Amino acid sequence: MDNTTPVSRRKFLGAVLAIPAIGALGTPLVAAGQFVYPPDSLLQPPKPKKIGNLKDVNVWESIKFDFNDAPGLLVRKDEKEVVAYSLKCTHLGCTVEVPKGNLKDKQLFCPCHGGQFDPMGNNVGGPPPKPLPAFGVEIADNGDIIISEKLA
Amino acid sequence: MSWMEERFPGIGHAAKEIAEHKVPSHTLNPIYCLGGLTLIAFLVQVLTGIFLAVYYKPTVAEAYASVQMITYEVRFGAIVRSLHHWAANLMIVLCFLHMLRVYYTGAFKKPRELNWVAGCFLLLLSMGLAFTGYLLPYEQLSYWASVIGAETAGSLPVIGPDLKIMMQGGIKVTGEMLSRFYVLHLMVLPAITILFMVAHFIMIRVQGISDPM
Ligand code: HEM
Ligand code: FES
Repeated sequence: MDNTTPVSRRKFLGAVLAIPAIGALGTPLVAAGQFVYPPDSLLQPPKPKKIGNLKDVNVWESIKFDFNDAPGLLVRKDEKEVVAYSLKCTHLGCTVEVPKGNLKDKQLFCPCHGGQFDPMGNNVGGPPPKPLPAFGVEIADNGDIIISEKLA
Repeated sequence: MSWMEERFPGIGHAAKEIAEHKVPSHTLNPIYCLGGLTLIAFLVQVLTGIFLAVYYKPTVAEAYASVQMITYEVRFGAIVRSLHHWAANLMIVLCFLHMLRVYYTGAFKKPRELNWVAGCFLLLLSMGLAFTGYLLPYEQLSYWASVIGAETAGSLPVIGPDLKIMMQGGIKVTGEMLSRFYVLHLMVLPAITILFMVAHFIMIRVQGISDPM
């Protein structure tokens, strides 16, 4: 039994032409997308930044700083160790408030929906689902504190 | 007219058909004017926008200052800017009220489904124009509204991060975003909006206005 429908010459040639036509129209479309997507030079991670010196900050004290146009906090844990994290709340992105002075046994508080964080940036109450995102911290020999984007 | 008629036979008839087109009496109700009023708001935007573009400069260094100049130095500048501001707001309100009219009179039903879809695109395009225009004065409100818009886009699943980079033209809100929004606001979105409006109006003419409920 032969139930194949005959394809007319016109239809066949149309289909044959359709393939290069799609390619010819699709390629510039991909190129247009590539053009509009910003070049690598605009996608570089922010440069490491010096935000202070270890001698400016006592144990359990903090320094607020700007990194990549957004607020961050550095806290000195003990003689040697410091932590730094973003103050952008992991709930919906408000700026978390930092109490003044010594942070021992204190909490950071998010004004938007009452999220709470401990001075290490861990979420300890309210809606935030994750700790505040940490930055990379490096201490130079002279005590300069240098913040960088953490490579996770 | 006869001069034109001689060269383009039938043009007088076509012009008459456009100018004196009859509509059913149930459309003599202000709620049936909302679509046309949206169009008028858009035409105000096109006209005032052309004037604003004469002085506006889309760079971080000059955007704010150029808008200040339009407002305080250019003759009639404050009026042109206010018109553009208020007609932008009105266009969104009117477009939405028009959509409600279409919804509550059931005018979206067969055979007008595709005109409803075209209308939905027109509403999105209007909001896109409003959002991209908001960044252009590059004042505090503009800047933070755009930060919020980019962050919101960035929180979408899967496409979010790339969409945010595409909007910002980089990893944060900078002059690159201003350039992008300028191009969208002055060229891309108006052109697409006009295409959709033409399609919208042709469909209305072909299908006629819907019957009363
Ligand atoms: C830029 C925005 C828009 C403009 C300029 C516009 C313009 C118009 C005009 C002038 C009419 C003639 C009847 C009337 O004025 O009520 C109309 C009809 C219609 N519009 Fe729109 N419109 C817009 C947005 C929308 C939206 C957001 C929707 C819905 C999602 C929509 C759906 C329709 C439909 C279905 C009709 C046919 C109504 C009928 O036959 O009764 N339009 N539009
Ligand atoms: S944004 Fe911080 S608790 Fe909601």
